[in-house]
Amino acid sequence: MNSNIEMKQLIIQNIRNDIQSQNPIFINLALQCVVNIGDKEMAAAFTNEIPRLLYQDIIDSVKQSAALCLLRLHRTSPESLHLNTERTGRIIHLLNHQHLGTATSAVSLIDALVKRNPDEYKGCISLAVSRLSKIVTSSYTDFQDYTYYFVSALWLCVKLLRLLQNYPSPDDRSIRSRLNECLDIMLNKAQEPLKSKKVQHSNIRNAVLFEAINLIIHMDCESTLLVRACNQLGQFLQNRETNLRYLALESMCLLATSEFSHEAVKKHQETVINALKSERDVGVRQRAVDLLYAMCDRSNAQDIVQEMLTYLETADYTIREEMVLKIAILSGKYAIDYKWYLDVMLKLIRIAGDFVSEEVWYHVIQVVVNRNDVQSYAAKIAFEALQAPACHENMVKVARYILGEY
Amino acid sequence: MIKAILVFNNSAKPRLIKFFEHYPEEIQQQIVRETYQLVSKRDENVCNFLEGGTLIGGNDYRLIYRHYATLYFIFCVDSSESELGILDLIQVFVETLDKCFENVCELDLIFHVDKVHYILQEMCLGGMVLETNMNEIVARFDEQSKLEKQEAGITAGPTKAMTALKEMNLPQKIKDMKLSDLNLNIRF
Repeated sequence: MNSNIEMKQLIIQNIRNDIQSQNPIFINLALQCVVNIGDKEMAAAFTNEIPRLLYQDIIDSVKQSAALCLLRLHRTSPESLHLNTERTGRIIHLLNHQHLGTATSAVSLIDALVKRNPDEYKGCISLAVSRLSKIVTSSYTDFQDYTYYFVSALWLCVKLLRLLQNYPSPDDRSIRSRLNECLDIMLNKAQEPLKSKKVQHSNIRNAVLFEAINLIIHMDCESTLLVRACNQLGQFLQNRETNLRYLALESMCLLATSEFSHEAVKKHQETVINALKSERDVGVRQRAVDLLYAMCDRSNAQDIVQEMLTYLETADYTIREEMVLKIAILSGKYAIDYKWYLDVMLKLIRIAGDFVSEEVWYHVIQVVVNRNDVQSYAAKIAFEALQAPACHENMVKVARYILGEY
Repeated sequence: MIKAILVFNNSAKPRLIKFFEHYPEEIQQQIVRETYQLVSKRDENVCNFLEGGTLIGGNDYRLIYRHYATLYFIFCVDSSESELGILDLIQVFVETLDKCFENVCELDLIFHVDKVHYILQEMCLGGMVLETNMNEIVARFDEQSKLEKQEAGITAGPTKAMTALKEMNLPQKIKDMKLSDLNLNIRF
């Protein structure tokens, strides 16, 4: 296709004819074609026609496709797409479109545009918030076609929450309180009993909830919401669904980095450690390790490092290297006592010598060289370590250096 | 964005493959093999997300899959999509197939691969989620079947689509031709 330029020009011309036609079927098919080819030439050729479709007076399904088509072209070549202020305004107003499908695809488009140029699209915040609150406060019967297992307009909700994550918490007080109200309602809804036993129902309900929690974490200013989110995630950690545990661990990692909720996350330390021991899926165990790393601070470092070392002995080979690095960093960062640090590091080398990189054991030696008071202790435990019947190469290297020097 | 949609059965036979980014055919086959290796050895009750293999694009991409009887449905998506949302999209896709084919089974995917692609195109447009309303999709699908019956002469077989493609300079031909046929031929 690409080699035949003449052919391509013909095709583009034909597609253009179709887009300019009055028949929605032709327009939609032409859009499909543009999206599927979706290369630079297409983007250059249709940079005017397709935005025009968005605010012409045509049926909704065409607009819906046009928004996504524009998004695709924007992804292939962002530089060829120029929208002036009037056009951006009109695109933003699609958020209020009464056809939910159109609004949903418009949010996807705006999300991509915002990522490139956040200031120009600031106007979308208030519209997005008001749309969100309309969805959240109305009952699910209002959106008959887009209600799926009692949750209304799932995709629109999720996308709006994603869109809002591009901006910091809104400055305007009324918008902010409205948004907080929405998030509050969403958290409340999670507490309601399930309306259906089917897994689909809980899945999509939680899809919205997780997105809401991500937004709460992103805004990072409402401590009550953060703590509530954390408690909710704590409940999920004990849920039967593996998927939920996986996502809960992942979101909690983010929560742990916020100063408001760090303490709340620490309450779940025991559960997380349990997950590490009992979880059957390596992906979930890896998230648990990540979370332990994120929630670690001076007060619980000793426990966490100890647990991680115990787990390392049975851990999967795929995640060992990462774990070794994490243990090394944590024990280095939060060490109160250098003897403890040396114990941990030598044990680490003994358990997973293969995965200990050079920087890690160089650092051990650096510590020993700089601290006179631990040198004799280091020599003692290095000697003991060498007594073992089988020693890893890295262990021999460290012990050789320490014994040789002191 | 969705990067690829793969459907294969328990013995690694691909039943539906749709890539939204261009890969040479050899790589596509490798991706299918690699994905099968990753997915097939997982237990029934582990979680439905896993980090994508090396071929499909490293850390930012995730495989989200569901296992129905003999078939695996796998979506490879980047971090801009909600995991549970995609999981739900798979369910919508399967339920739609079920409505369109009445008790869908693997054989339907083999013998009506064109129709499965139509349904997929109603749901996803170039890797982005277009429509999640099941009734809407089914309605479009029914309209399509009706049209097909009327125009049986035009879309009778792929050979006709090929000849139509060769006579591309006649604009009217393109208008008459079904776009899905056009797609399949020009993409690969």
